[in-house]
Amino acid sequence: MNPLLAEFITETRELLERVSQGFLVLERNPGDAEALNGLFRGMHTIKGSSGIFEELGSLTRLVHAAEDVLDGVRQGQQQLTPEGADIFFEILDQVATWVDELEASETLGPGAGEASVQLVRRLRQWASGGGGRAEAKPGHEAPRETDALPSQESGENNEGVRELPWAAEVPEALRREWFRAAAEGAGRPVVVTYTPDEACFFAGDDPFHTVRNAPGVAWGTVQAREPWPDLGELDPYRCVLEFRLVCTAPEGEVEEWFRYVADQVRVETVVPSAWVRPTGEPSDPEPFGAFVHDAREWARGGRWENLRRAVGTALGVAGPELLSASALRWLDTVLATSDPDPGLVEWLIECVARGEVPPEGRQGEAGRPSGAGVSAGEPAETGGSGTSPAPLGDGHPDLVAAAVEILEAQRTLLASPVDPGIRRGVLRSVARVAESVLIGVGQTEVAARVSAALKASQTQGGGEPLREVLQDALAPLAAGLAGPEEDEAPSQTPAKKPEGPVPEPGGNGGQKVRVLRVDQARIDALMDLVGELVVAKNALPFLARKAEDVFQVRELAREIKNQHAVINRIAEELQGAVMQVRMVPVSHTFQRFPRLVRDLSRKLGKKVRLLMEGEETEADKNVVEDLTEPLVHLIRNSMDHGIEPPDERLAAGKTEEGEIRLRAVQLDDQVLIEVIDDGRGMDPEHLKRKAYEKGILSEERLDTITDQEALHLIFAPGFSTAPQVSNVSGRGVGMDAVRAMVDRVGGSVAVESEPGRGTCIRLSLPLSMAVTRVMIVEVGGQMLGVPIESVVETVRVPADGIHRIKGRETVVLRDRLVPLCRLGRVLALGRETADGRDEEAVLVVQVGGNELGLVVDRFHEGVDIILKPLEGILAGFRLYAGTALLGDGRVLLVLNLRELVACL
Amino acid sequence: MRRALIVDDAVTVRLYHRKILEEAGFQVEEAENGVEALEKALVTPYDLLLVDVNMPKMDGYTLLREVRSTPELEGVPAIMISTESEKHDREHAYRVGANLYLVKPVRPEAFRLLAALMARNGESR
Repeated sequence: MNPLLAEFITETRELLERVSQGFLVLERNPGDAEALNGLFRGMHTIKGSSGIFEELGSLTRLVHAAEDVLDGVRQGQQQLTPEGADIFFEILDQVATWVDELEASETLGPGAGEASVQLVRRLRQWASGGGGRAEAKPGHEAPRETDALPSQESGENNEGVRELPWAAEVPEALRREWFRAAAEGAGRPVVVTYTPDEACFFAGDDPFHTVRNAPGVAWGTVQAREPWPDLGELDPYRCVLEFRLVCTAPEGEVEEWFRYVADQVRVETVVPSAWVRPTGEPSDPEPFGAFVHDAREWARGGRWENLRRAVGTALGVAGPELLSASALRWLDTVLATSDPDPGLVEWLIECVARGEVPPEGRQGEAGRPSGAGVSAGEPAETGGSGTSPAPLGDGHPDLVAAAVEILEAQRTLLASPVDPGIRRGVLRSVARVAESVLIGVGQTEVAARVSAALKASQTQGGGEPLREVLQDALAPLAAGLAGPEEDEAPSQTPAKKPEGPVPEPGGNGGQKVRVLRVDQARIDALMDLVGELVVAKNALPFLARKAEDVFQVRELAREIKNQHAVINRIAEELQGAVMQVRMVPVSHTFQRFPRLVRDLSRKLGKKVRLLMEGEETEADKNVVEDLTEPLVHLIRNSMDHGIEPPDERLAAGKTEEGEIRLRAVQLDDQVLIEVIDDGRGMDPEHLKRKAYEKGILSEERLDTITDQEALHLIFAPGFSTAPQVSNVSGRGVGMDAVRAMVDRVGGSVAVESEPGRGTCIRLSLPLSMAVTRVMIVEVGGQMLGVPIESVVETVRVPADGIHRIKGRETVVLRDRLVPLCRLGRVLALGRETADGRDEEAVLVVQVGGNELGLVVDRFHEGVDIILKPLEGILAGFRLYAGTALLGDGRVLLVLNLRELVACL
Repeated sequence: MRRALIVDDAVTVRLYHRKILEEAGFQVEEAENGVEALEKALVTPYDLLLVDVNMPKMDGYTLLREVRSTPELEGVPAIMISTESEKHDREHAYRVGANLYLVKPVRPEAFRLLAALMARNGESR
């Protein structure tokens, strides 16, 4: 991607985030001038940057309009209402969408122009007191509303091609129809110029087919781009055609159709007046003399009705094939519109008067010079005082024009009322610039006078001497008398005084790069390598054991072990360092929630305050990114089901405004994220009943399930407690998604709730997902990994310490009842007859807030692994979280404890 | 080599202008706002300042006024560049001592020539 565009994307995203936060602050605190200025500046910066890219016109126009209206707010002419903020947020969303599109395809989608115009229109409507309703009647808004737009920037009516040289080729009736439709706001046809690539046939293109089936083709033509050669030399495989089409389908649809040949196609809208072009036989103007006389009068006075009647009369006597008649028909059409363009009318009258099309082109057209060309084209404005003198004809017109522009600017500067305090600096800078420019264009004699003039100006305190020098320099330049002596090669400095040693480029070496922006892919690659290193080093202990056991070289084994310790330390530090690079604060994710809460409170009619704590807490970028979606679900859920409507809250003796707290805390190598609301809480009995009704809970489980377990039912797939499905949440998928995400990253989730008081949902997530630590246990000869964060302890329990309680094997561990699970049996791995043992190895793990004892054959060490999820046909085998490669090349299956519990 | 300082809070704009100025033969440095620009300019003698108007901390107008009233900096050629094409914006720029006022986005060819012409030689008295 073009690095400039890439930079724009990053920058704009950051700005959008900032602006959006500014709006939230402002809504809470309408008087916050700092927030207002900040977000104004953000908008301004986005506009400035997007202006660099010609193809981002739609985006620039939209942001510009937003900036304009914000300026009104800043000046105090306008109050930012919630409705207004809604529109601004929509604009931010739209821009964000476009930025995404830019990232994906480097262009804005086909509907961009339309979307931009719509939003601008609504924004202006709101700003002008219309309330900014989304459902403004489309019929009403067509031509007039656009007039309210700043005409330079986004007037849709003025947008598009103004001159269509081949317009006359199109039958007049069609053109009149399009003109009428466009003038009535019924949309305007799109002009397509399709110049197929010369080698297009080899690319499998079929231009004729493409063109014929384009949406809404109203007219079309094809011709050769170059004269046809002799038949003998004709290369039939080279496409030299050019197609011109006029389509009545929406622009977006047309662009969509031509998307595969987008580089060979120009799709443009056309200003309605471009269709206006009388055609026919040149005629003797004499018979229309009287009409022309009257018509000019009426046109000047704007008496369209009279004029139109006269047109009707004149048409009756004109031969229809004549150009005059065509002009009259056009007059009739133009006059039939609600607001005829006077310039156009006069021009048409002129056509009638001459019996031919006047050669000097058309004037008028809403006061715009007709030479403006395709408006999406080059940015015409280069600033300066706009003086572009006649070229010198010496081969360097640009150079001279630039010199004149700069010198003129110096004159303007000298004439400006500057503060006395900067007077001296201004004079010096003018002198310096003038000297530089004059030498640059070869006026060395005048240049030599500059420093004397500066001295004179300084002593007089006015700029007169300098102004005279400028005058003397400008006169010959502008008059084209003095040809420059050297061409544009600014790097070769004329032999001036090479004063003192030039400061070395490294002279400013004191400053250092503080922040480095790195493509995430590079860090990911680094992380992958580190991961591989971590696993590869696990091979060393195996090697050491092999050296000792198989080859009987104890000495070597010891050295390998020592070396392993060293590599292990380096690998761990390396891993830590890379992980540090990937750490980002959770605020990246938290930032969006104020907006979410605001929007939802408005939708739900509830009052909610969001408090965020610990936004600076850091975690791996992937974890933070994956966090977003579950948190959205959790917050939606709290807002929808947790927080009560204001009246209900008041009745319950609570404050009218509900509160949601979003907290992040780092705890060892975990991040805890809590979503706490002070809403109505959850009733375990209610949840149980609900789950039973939905068939999620069997009848026997209904009796044994604890309250704590019942709370976890909300994470079951298909469980929704909402009495009615609202449009915010409650389709019973959200919480399920939360648990799925938490499982995926190897975290856990806990729920606490007190009916009437509120709910707290706590996600514990690993700081990083790249490397997982597991404990290896052996069952029936098979090695299994258990995520170390789930492991509570390892114990050996005497066989007679195992009791059957409620039909389940259970042990008592320091006053806790821990149910047992014989892994060998559940996984069908073990010989079930291992019961003869007098003590059992039990790995106590914590799953979903409950403890469970896994009965295994043997404990092994803990290892760092890179977990690879099961793929393909095995992916459905959910008892295992995935596999990992051990240092000795064996594959380790890692248990998914939550699934294990579910199938007990 | 001639040095130019780009003062603009937008990274994209800085990057865009940097490329053009480098093509014009400048060694380019950047500052994000007026304060940073002043700090840099007091250390390094620049041959050209390219100054945006709207910036946090210190805007372009203030920066230019500071530059023109600081003896060590006062004579440095300065281009003010802005998105606004209104007359009063232009006038404001000249009032604070800009040597040229350009409207964004600038056309690279034109801008390259203007910048090169304005600062052909190093510091001159």
